[in-house]
Amino acid sequence: MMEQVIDLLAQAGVDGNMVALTGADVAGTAGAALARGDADALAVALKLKRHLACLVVAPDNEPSEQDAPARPDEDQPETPDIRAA
Amino acid sequence: MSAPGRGRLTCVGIGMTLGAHLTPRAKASIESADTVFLLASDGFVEAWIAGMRPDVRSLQRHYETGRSRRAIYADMVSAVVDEVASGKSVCAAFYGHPGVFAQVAHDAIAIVRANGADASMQPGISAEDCLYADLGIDPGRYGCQHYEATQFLCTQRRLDTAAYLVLWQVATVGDRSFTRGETTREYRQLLVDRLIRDYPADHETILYEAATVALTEPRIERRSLGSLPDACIEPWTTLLLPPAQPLMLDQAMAQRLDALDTGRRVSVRPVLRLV
Repeated sequence: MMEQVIDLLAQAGVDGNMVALTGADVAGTAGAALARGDADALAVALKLKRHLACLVVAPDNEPSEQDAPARPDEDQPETPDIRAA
Repeated sequence: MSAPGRGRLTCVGIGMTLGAHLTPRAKASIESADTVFLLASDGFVEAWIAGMRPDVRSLQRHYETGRSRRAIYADMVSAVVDEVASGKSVCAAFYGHPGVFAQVAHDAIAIVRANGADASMQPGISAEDCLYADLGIDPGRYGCQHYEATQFLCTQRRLDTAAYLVLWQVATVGDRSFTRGETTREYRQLLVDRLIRDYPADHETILYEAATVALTEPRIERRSLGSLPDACIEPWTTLLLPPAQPLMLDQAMAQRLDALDTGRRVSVRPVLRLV
């Protein structure tokens, strides 16, 4: 049954035919879930975990001073000429 | 081509929606590789790929509650890289796009190449792509900024409120340990506090989730910025803020462009128009 349902989902992904998907002849609770368009119930019927871990990036949130772009010290004059001015 | 015995790595994206987004090239890579690793976000999708390759190795087993995702990702990279080092032709398949807000594929490819073997990435249809299609948004119209939510919160940014703003991994905003599956209302309030510096509290936001199977519709929930802390935000939810102000013409640059156009004897003077 698992293979049948996955094939139906894959075909619906290709052709977008929801009518064929929800009207498919699938037995038992999986068939009932499919007919209702209830993906969560379908996953339960097939003993699949509906949502898997999905976070895929852990960026650097505390960049070091070395990573910071160089810029003039705003508290200090850049050249003696500026100080004189 | 890599030298015989050196192994090679192809990272592919399988898209977001089962059956709808897998490219012929990604499918061929999955079918022909010696070893296939998979990181899917949906049990149906995992079962679908397992139907193509019963010997597929799920990278999900590396996720562990309470453990830093940085360590988890390092383990995923090691699993892939070690297999390539053993001389195998390896395909690592990731949901969405393997290189968009996904660091394992980038890291694995860099290491494999540093080790002298071939590695490549084949793009896939990402959640970002689905967002544009489902919400009817063209990032080229006003511009579009993308940030990982915690990085956005922790670093100084100059937001362009005339462009779209997209924030990823909002469910874990503020988790600097990378160990939590979600953070609490208080953390989301901090995000709202940050955004309210640039946007009105009643500014419309959109919570978006792409459909992973054709049986369901994408989630498109519109609500005010100020109400976000009380929203249902899943690890796979993406937050979009539409522009809050119109584009402003840069008059000085327009004058410089006028001067250039005059010098070039443009017969029909182009009109710079905001859309």
